[in-house]
This record gives sequence, C-alpha cells and structure tokens, in this order.
Amino acid sequence: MKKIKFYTCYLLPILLLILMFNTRCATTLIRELRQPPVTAADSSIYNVKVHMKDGSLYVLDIFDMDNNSDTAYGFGIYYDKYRDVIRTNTDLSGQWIDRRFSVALTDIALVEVNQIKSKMTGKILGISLVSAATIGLTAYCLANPKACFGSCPTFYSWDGTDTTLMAEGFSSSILRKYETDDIDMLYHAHPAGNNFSIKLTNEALETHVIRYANIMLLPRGDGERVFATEEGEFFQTSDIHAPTSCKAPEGDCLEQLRSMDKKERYSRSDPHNLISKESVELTFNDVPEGKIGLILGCRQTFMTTYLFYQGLAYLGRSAGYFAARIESGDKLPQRKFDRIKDLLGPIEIFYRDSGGQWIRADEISESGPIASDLHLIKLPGTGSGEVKIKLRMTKGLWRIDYAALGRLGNETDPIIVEPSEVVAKNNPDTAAAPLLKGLQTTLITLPGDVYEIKYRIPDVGDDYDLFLKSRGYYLEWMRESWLEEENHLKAAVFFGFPGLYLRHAGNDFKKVENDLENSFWNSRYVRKN
Amino acid sequence: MAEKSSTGSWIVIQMQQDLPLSRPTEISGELIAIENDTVYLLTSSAFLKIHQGAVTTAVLYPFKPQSATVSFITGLSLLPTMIGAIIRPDPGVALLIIGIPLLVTGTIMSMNELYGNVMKYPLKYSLKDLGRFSRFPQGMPPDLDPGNLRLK
Repeated sequence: MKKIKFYTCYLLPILLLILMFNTRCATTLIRELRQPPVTAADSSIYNVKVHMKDGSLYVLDIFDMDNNSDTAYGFGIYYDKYRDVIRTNTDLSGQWIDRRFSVALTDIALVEVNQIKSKMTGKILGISLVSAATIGLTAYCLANPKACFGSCPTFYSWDGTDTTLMAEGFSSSILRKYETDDIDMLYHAHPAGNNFSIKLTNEALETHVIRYANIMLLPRGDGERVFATEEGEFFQTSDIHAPTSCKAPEGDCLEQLRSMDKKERYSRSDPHNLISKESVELTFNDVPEGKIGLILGCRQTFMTTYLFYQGLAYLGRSAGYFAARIESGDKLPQRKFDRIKDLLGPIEIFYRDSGGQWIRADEISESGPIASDLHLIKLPGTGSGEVKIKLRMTKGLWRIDYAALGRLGNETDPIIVEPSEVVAKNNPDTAAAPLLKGLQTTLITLPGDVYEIKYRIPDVGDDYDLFLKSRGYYLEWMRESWLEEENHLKAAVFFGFPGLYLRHAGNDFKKVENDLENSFWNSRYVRKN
Repeated sequence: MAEKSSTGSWIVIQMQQDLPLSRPTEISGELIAIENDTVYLLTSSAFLKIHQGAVTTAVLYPFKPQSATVSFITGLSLLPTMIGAIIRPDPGVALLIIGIPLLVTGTIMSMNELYGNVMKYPLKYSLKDLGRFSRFPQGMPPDLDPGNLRLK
C-alpha cells in the first residue's frame, strides 16, 4: 500500500519533474576552434580534431604537447583533404596499435574541440527511471484489477480552500430495483453567497442514472450544526463534545475520532472469517442535559466493493441474467444478494444504561467506501455526566472518522433547492444535460463524465448546513479480467451459502486488503479535484 | 557523432538568385567551407559555390537528429503499460493514462531533438557561425580538386 502511494504521490512526479528538467533542452554541440598552440605545455586534451593547413585532418582521441616543443602528438585517425583515411594508430576500441602521430604546430590551421551539452544518455536514463516507476503501478493494477477501479456517483464541492470530495450517491443502488434516496451531509461545504455548485463525476466503469440531486438547506443557530438521523429527521445540535476516550482492540483511537479530518480508525479483516465482529468503546464526559445524540462520521472500507466485484466475477457471463432476474421482481436472487449485505452487517450502536447493560440504540448501514457521511443516532438521556457508547461492527469493514456527542435541539425541516443549471463539463452539447428536476428525466452519465450542478441558495438569514439528496441507481460494467474468474460453482457458494463463503474468503481478501484503499485512490482515471 | 566526424555538417539552403523576381530554390548538402563571400556546398550530384548574397535562409544540422532514438526509447518505456492495457482492457484506459506523462515528455523530447539543435541563418546565427561546422573551417585548402570530393 505504501509502495503504491509512494510511486504515485512522490516517486513518479519527482522523476517526471527531473525528466522534464533534463529534457527541456535539445542535445546541443558546442564547437570551439582554437589556434595552435592549444594546450598548456605538458598537458593533454581529448577528442579533438586537428585541421591542417593543407586540408588534411587528424581526428584524435588524445592530443599531447610536450614542454617547449614545436610538435604535438596524438592517437586517432589521419584523413587527407578528401577525407580518405591515410593512417590510423588506434583500433576500434581505442587501443593504441601503432606509433603516435607527430604533428608540427606550424602546419596546424585550427584545432577543433567539441562539447556535447544535455546528452542523450541522461535523458534516456531519466525516461527509463520514469518508466520503471510506472511499471510498478501497472503491475499492481494488472494483478489486482478489482482494486483499481469502481465508485458511485461522486460529488465534489468547494470547502473554502479547495474543491474536495463531499459525498457519494446511492452506493447500494446497484440496479434499478435498488433505486433509492440518499441523503449525505455536505459537512465541509462552503457556499459563496447565493451561488452554490457541485461537481458530479462518474469515475468508474459504470453507467450512472441520476433522477435528482437536490440541495437541502437546514438553518441553524450560533454554534450549532444540523445532523440527520437514519430516518431522515434533522436536528439542530449544540454542545458538541468529542469523546474523552476511545478504546479499540488495537488500543487507543481517540486521535482518529476527534474531528472530521479524514484521519480514520479502521482495522484489518479477520483472515479466518470475514464477518467476525469487533467493538470500539467510546466514553463521553460532561454530557449535556436533555436530549442527546451520537454523531458518527464513517464510511465503509473497500471490502464491500471487493466482494461485489468478486460476486460479479464468479457469475461472469451469467451476471446479466442474475441482474435481470432481480430487476424482473424475482425475490430469490434478491434475497441472496441481500443476505451478503446482512452478513457483513451495519455498525450497531449501543449505550450503557444506569444498570451497566448495553442497550442497542440504532445502527448505521449506509454503503459506500468513498466519502464519509455523518449520522445522528438519538440517545435517551441518561441523567449522568458520563455516557458510554459501544460500536459493534465487522472487522475491516468500516472506517470511522468522527465521533461526538451533542445536545439535540429542535427538529427542523429542510428547504429543498433544486438545480438551477446543469452543465456538462466535458460535453459540448450542454443542452443535453437535463435539469434533474423531474423523476422521469434522468441524467445518465458514463465513465469520465463531469457535470457542474448549479444552485441558487435562497436567503435564509442565518447560518445553515447543506445536505445533498440524490436518487438513482448505477450499473456496474463487467470487465474482461473478471470473466477469467467465472466459476458457477463458486458463484453458487457465494450466493447460496454466503456465510460459508465469507468465512473462507478471508485469505484471498487478505492478499489485496492492504493495498485496496490507496490503489483505488491512486488509480482512478478521473482524479480527485 | 559530430565530435568524431571527418566531414562537415549537413545544411539546407534556400537561395534566390535574382531577388525578388525568381522563386526560391532549396538545396542541401555537406557544408564544405564558407569563406569570403562564398558558401561551398557538396551535394549528392555536384560541388557548388553559392554567393552569400543569394542565401536567403539556411538550416544547419550539427549532427544527425536523435529524435528517432528518443521515440524508440519512449516507445519501449510505454511497452509495459501498453501490454498491460491489452492484457486487461478494462483497466486499460487507466493504464494508458498512467503512461501519458511519459508519452508527453517523450514527444516533447523528440520534438526538441528534431528541431531544437539546428542552427538557423539568419534568425539566430550568421553564416560565419555556420562555417565552424564545415569540413574545412579554416577555409578551402590550396590545390583542392573539388571533383575528388565525395559525400561520406
């Protein structure tokens, strides 16, 4: 994983810079013509041409002058004025094979010294180094094609300093049958005035069908943020506290969960059972009185992506048939597919009651490995200044970026803002982009497509938080390399006995797990920002 | 390479005999010498003396352009990526994109080699400057029989 990151983030750009610096100039020949005597006494110069007054020429490997002598000496080839070879005293390898030439200084017209600048050898070395660096990345992508690609509709927006990844849309909607609404908090969004825009990209080998992408505007008071529950309720939240302790199986994890900064707590999967569980315990002190809620920022790891692709690979040419059965309402394959999702499971959230019992509060099951989303889990007031929370989840499946506890204020209704304009950024036929205002007019995107969705934010007078509500589905493209893994027996085990499969797939997953995250980010052909 | 060559550099000359009435003529060959008001040129068919005043432009190639070598090396360097793209067509697009910086650099380098190391008269150099890359930079030797000069 570090190797891939090192290649793409550091080594490759550095080598390219060196190469470009090295190649900015053409190979040039600097020629100097000197009158004899050309060297200080008792010294030698190399690779010279001695032009004689009669038109003959010595092309010498070495040119010597003795002290106070009127004669110079050398080894090389002597040509007449028609450039026929008269004599040579070196062989092809430059070894001296005959007595040296004696050249009278008075017969010399000019001595020519050449210097090559920006030699080809340096450039070839440079280009070879860059090539070697790309080979590593290429080899990895070839060995792990499932690691390199795949995403859902991705949404970028301005965060005040840069255009950054904010959300991914409807990750679990892998077929029209699974089409659903998806609400994602644009936690870092920073609208400038009344204009707000989102960059929508398709960065995978997928077809995305987007019905709408509306902004939800939630006014808030000073020091408040608005968070959404899994049920789609929005609460103004204040007195937001970071945990005072975070205990994970690997040790302290407080630093990773303190803020929404992409420093995430995650673990590696269990090689003996991909669905084995783990728990992380959080403690909050100085808990505010009244209604409280746990705020959790998280996303999935690429385990789900890997398993999804693996399932498609096993189905191979039958994948279309399998998908068509689900689309046509056949519940059996749908249940098989859902079973895998169930086995992988959500993040279950428990709180400890006054009697010391762990009580299940809620769960987070939002799919998607690209952008962390924020979730609000309502908790009952404990009447105590300390709250203990347990997060139970499948090992290696979740990345948790942020955990906090806040006091819940009023439930608030969002102001829905529809797009005012949709502009195709890489398609000159801008009129083709539907406005994403009606359920019947979908925006269909293909790999590499980029759209800018513009919104006019109404004046609400106060601060506000933004959420993105999108709806649609996407179709994963089958890859040639997956077809090589077509195996209907394994597909039968995968979908028929997913528990059994997941208990035995750990070793295969382990082979790529360490590199999945970085290779994904480093190999998408439409890059971040 | 030119540092070991016993001959002059190759030059392409555009000349116009009767300014401004005639059409310019392009002629190329080995630069033999430039002295006084005359450019001595050895073409594949003749030894020519051209009056400097008739030379409108000249392009001198101090040595054989290395652009073909650069293109070859760039091609070789792209080979692993291209093979990867063929073996695995689906991540192939991305693999090819990995090779784009290399391709761009190689192309720039190749163009540089093709056009960057030439000497152009009158844009940047005088004919006297070009004369240093002739077969006889010291001037035409005495008793030279031009009929015996051959392109090497």
